[in-house]
Amino acid sequence: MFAPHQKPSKTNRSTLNLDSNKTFYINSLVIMQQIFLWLVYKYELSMLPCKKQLIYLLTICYLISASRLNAFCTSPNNSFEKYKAVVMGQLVKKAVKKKKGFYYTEYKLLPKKWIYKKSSVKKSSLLTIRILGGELLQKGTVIKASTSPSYIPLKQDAVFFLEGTTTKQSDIFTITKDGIITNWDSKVL
Amino acid sequence: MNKKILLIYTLACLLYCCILPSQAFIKITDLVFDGMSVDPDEFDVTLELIKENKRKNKANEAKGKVKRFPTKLTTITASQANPKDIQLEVDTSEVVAKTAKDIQGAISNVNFLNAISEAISLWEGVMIADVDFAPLKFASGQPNSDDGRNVITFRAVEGIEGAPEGTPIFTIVTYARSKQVEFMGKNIKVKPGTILDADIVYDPTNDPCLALHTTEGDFKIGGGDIAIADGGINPNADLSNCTFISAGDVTDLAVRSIAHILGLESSAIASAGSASVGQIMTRYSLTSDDEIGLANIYPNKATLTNHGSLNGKVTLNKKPVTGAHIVLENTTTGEPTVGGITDTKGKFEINSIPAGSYNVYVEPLDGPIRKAGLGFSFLGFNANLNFTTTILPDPITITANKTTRIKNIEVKELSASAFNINHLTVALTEEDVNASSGAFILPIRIMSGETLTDIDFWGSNINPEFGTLSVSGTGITVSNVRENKSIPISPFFTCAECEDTPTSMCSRDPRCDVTEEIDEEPDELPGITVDITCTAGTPPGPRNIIFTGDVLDPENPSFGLRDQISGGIIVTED
Repeated sequence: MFAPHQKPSKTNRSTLNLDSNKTFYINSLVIMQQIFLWLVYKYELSMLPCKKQLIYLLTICYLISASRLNAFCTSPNNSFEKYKAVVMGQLVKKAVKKKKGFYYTEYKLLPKKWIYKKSSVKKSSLLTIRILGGELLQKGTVIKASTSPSYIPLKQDAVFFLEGTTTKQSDIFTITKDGIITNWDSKVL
Repeated sequence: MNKKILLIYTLACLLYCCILPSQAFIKITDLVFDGMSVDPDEFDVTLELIKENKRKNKANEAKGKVKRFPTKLTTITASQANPKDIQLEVDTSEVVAKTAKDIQGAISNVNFLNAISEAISLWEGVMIADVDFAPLKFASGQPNSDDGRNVITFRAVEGIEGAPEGTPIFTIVTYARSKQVEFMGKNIKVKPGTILDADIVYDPTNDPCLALHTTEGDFKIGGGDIAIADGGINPNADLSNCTFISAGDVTDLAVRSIAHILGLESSAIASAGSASVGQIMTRYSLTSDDEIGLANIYPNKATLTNHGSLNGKVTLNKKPVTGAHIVLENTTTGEPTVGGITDTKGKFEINSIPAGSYNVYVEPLDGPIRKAGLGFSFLGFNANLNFTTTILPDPITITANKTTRIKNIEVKELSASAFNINHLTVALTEEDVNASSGAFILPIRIMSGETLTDIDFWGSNINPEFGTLSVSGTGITVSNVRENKSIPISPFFTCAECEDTPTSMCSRDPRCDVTEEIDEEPDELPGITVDITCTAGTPPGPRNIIFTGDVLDPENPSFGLRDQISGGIIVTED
């Protein structure tokens, strides 16, 4: 999940902008959660006065808030910060490889414009992208993963939202299901 | 179980954050030409190549040459070869924390197995489909994409290349693209689309602040017991690293993943297609869309006695429309019973529909679920969006054991006066929604007898003067409709460093640090704000939110135009 048209914050810090009601709900959630965890972790419940009523009250409040807050709970952090980098460029090479029983497709990304990058990411003239799954032309099989983008354009300008992989190599990136934009408003970027 | 752990789990499961699309009635499809999958942006080129090849073949034939060029474009759909005996192995190895920051607690073998079994039972329990799983086996070793074993594993899998960091569960499906494939070191003949291998990897440590759990009993937000059986947060975990703790139910996630193993794609009906809805509303149950979808792949003829079929074609300016979403809405309840999408020739076919009366409408995949959300399907991401929602003037009747044919549904080109209604519980731009495949759009949940106030809708031409907002079926009414010129549709703002001077003060805002001020405000769009009331006694289930044009102004005609959020509101059980 991402926000492709987000303008990078000048301070590289992002926050959901919520109206007052939503902010209230979010704050309520956070406060209740903190109270609850504080109670549980800092004190033995058995030592608390009126513990049953307290727990019951907190749980009810929490249930109400949680149901209203579901969207927020399920919402991503709409931020470039979840990405290692956001790059406009072209994928120029493609190869299907296998490691530890899983196939992945490796692409080389030629960056044309760095829209955002974390300080830990080094600018490079060619980036390595690895995506779970692939098409094995020789074998006649297709491997698709629920996390992978439905379509990956080759040799076509696109904006790529680069994320880290489970291998956690700093110079290897991946793209998730919605991490490619082929049609964008260049004015915004 | 320790009371305090139980309560933490309760919190955690309520904070469940699901990122997977749900199962429902769109099959996993692939378009194949000359033994290769066709890329969406190469589709037109492929069609031209086919024309060219046909010309060459004709010329060769005339010259008496034997050589023939490929001309066949094949749509393959994924399915299990032996749906009455689907083998599934469950790896119940205890999850191993990768780092000290991982909060996942242990899930016992028996509870993990029970949770998976429960999900399997749901799919096996679809009476109109013929699907059975063999008794679950215990897996040995790690999952592998081409060993022919369908494995569900719950363990920290070290470093799967290409798997995104932070994804706690993913499904990998290997299927045959052609009749002859090389698999497990052998050349074998199979039906194209046959699923050869499928694996589901639960790796909660991939998201250190997420805790998966198993649950006993019914789960309902707003009522009912929530009994966490196992897993969740490790009581010794240091939660200080987590700004947000989320949790997921193993059964709920398995229901969706097993759908993929069975060959089902994501649904384009929000009430079925949103994973969060699956969690809140339909947990441990399937929607009619899911059941009909399964029956379309594996029909159980013995039980499909009161069901019929529908087929037809969708065209725009007499040309076929690919990826148009066809929805059958029950005329009595207003429930979106089933949906499907058109193929590259604009054709659709939906079988196993309960006999009855339905309104039929065609909509572009521009919401609530966007075409990018159909990650497994060629038809989804090649979908045409350049048309307006079209509803057939009269309901159709599905008759048992018969096929109802709609010869042609001619849709109209998208116009300036067309509507595109959105309801977002998170403020986002239209581009964001497109890019996120609609995953942010969560249906509104309303209980029988409840009134929700100040619900925002926005989108193209969504204004009280242009049309009327309503909900399908009976029992839900929309009132107090007013124009809202400032619905926040973007969460984006920027902060800039600021220092007070004797002559000017910074514009302080809690959204920015104390040393900063707001530099740029988020976007807002006009729309409408309404109240929605659900009459007591209204039966539970999903409904459509509809905006219908009623302006006869010749310069800006909207009369008869409509757009809806399919499955955009759900009447929940008390």
